[in-house]
Amino acid sequence: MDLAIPSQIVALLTFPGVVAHEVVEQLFCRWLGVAVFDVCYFRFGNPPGYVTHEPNLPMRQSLLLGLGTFFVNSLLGALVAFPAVLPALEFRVSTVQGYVLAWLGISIAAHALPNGAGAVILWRTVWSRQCPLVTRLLATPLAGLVLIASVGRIIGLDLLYGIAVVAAPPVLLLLILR
Amino acid sequence: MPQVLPEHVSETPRRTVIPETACKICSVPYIEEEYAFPLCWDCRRRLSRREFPRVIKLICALVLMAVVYAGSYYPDTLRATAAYQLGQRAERAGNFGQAIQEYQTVLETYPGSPMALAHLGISYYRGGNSLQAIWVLGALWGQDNPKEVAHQVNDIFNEIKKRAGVK
Repeated sequence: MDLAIPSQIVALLTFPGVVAHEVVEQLFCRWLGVAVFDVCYFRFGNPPGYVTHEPNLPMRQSLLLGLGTFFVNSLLGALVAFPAVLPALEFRVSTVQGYVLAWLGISIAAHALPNGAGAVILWRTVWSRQCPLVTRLLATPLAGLVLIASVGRIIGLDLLYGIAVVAAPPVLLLLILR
Repeated sequence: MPQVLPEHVSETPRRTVIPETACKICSVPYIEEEYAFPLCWDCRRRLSRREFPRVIKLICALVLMAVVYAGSYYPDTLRATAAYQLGQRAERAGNFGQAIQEYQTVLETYPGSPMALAHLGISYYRGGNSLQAIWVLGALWGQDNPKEVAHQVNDIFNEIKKRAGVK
């Protein structure tokens, strides 16, 4: 797929994020007791990594697996980059270790989004009959956003998401303090 | 890619018919009923506790070290940010003594910050300590300073030159 080339370049430049995504997903499988058949932590392909777990999971497991990985990686990316991004924005200070932390944070956050199949499964789970109405109402915007973003990967939307996640907490903190 | 089944699942012996209610891995008849994919408790737990390769453990350790390293900067970063904001408020209120103290706190953590240096110099100058201002702002001379402070710093240098009668 020619369109997949940009996402492969993004994946190569942000490989720690690919590994972190698969590790967190595998840890969630371990925690939830979901059978894992195959894992690829990084490859030059689309998707750049995957965890093949058992299909048709109960709703709770499916939701936690889809959204849990998304939240954990987003949070981890934001936490790693925060002490590098905040001084860069506020004091115009840039150091080598700051760049490394910012790159790592963006890499992890950029791969917080589930891949195409994962996003579709998440959307189907949210709209399945078993899903309670409250959960559906709460999870629909997020699942929709994840679905759109996973499709937008081919135009680098995942990288934009990573940058936004890393930049948002320092910007919000500075807005509150001012 | 969770829909794909492992190869060994489909490689069941042709003569043996495994009932739908038997484990797909070991064929025991006791499966966990809450799951759609038929696996026994033991097989599901064994598969869910899949080992991480050594190289992945190493990468995870490096990422965790980076998290800890980043975490160690949190107190200083937050302290400096709070001090900078207090300094800005004090400077706007004309309380240059407090502003100088706060900007010095920022510079303890980020000695090379052009923003903190510029505001420290400006506070010295507005507080009537021109010599200290020249000393501090001299560090910014000839550098590509942020736009927010470059104009103010240039104004101060021009005022000092005018007062000193230097063209």
